[in-house]
Amino acid sequence: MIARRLRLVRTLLGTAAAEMAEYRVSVLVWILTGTAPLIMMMIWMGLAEAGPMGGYSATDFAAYFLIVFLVRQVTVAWVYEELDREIRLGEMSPRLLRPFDPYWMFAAQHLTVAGMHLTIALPVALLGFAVTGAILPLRPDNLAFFAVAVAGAWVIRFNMLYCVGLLAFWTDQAAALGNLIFTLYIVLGGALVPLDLFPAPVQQILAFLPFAYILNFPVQILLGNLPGPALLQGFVVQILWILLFIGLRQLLWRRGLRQYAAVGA
Amino acid sequence: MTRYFSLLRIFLTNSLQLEMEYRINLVMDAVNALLSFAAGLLVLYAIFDHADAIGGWSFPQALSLLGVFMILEGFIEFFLYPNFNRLPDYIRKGDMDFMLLKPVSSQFLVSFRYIRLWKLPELATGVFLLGYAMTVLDTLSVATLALTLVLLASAAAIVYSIWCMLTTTAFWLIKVDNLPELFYSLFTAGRFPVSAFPPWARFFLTFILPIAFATTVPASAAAGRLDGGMAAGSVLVAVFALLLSHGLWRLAVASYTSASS
Repeated sequence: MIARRLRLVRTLLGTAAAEMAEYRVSVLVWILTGTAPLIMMMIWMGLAEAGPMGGYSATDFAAYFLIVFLVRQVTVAWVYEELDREIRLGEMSPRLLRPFDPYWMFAAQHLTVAGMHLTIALPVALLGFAVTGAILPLRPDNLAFFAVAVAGAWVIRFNMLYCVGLLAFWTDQAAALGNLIFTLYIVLGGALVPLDLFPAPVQQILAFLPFAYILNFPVQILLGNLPGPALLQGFVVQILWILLFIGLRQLLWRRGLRQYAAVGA
Repeated sequence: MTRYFSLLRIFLTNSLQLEMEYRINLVMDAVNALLSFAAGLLVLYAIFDHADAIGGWSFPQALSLLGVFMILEGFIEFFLYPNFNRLPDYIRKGDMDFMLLKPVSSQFLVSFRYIRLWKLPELATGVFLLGYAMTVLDTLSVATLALTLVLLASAAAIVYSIWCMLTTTAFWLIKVDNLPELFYSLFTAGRFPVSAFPPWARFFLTFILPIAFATTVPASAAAGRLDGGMAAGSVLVAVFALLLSHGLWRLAVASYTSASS
């Protein structure tokens, strides 16, 4: 049983890698489209030239946005677009004949692409640190927590967008909704403004939304800005969002399949 | 010429009929426009909470820039995206053959075929915001309005040309269909005055990828802080970019070998 599972994982990852290698230039361009944090880095560094803003010096801003860039690249997810298209056009049908949930195939695809993004984004980020002279107070424990938090962020983002994509069983607005959520994620996750520079009422609302835990949370860990209790609290909230979206995903998938079969392809 | 105008009318009617089929999109797109407006405003508030100016621009001036940015973004979504997004498929599937057989310019056919009416809310929000900022700045006069409109038109021409050229590369690079997305993401830089960037980026945004002419220059006119050289430069760049895009288009069509079918 376990051997079969492992073989499935290896096959899925291998197929995904072969598919993506076919479109490697395209993937490279997608990586370059993630440059919004770098544009914001220049803006904030320019603003902080005269003196620190809200506790951030120019190099602090550089470190913040370079890590944001990295985390965004690794947690990349576009699954709602694929699900929307496949469900609307009936391309989902052949996938249902396979003896495993297409969820795993999409997950393998996303992980492979995340790996490809990492190989490009990591040198870019390191170069950024060298050019801007930003310093990262690296500690082994922070690095470990960061890795766990990024994994958590990936699971939240992937499952959240999977849920959005599954809405295509009921509406043709799923892709539009996904784009809307992307805007929210960019602004409320901290890709344009470090969240602690937002007015206090906005920050209070953010605590109840998943976006800060997908982006801002891991970034702040690596920057060494989170003391123990805040770290613990962040992980607890991450786990809650993970449970919520995984549960919702399974519910939507089961309900949606019934709907899909009723329509007939 | 009259043929082109009657074609335009037919395309417009047809696009409108098509859009009426998807009326629900209006709701979603209006929500999206409001959201991106709120997001832009939130970022500006966060900045001006901690600074008095950005690149020498005051808050109301930055508002006028956000208005211009939203107008251009709306223009892309309303007009550029629905047309050029289809080009890679025309090429891959061989539909381009039919475009070339028709007795009008193929660039015209590809560029003006569709509009996405429901993207109007974003454009309208931008216009209102620009109008509001100009009222606050007290720059609302016939002269500034005319100048702003001319510079907006030349900004639109520049953005059209860049988008067209990037999509035209699909004739050679079948597998790379996302170059316009790359431009779209760099276009985010247009939310801010070009003076807020470090010198090398300023150079890049003015001379290599002229986003400065797309947003900073029209907004400067609206905010009453325009320098004449940039205004003249904008029109020149627009004419040059249009010619370049047409040249590249003809080169691409000449090397088009159709899809085997």
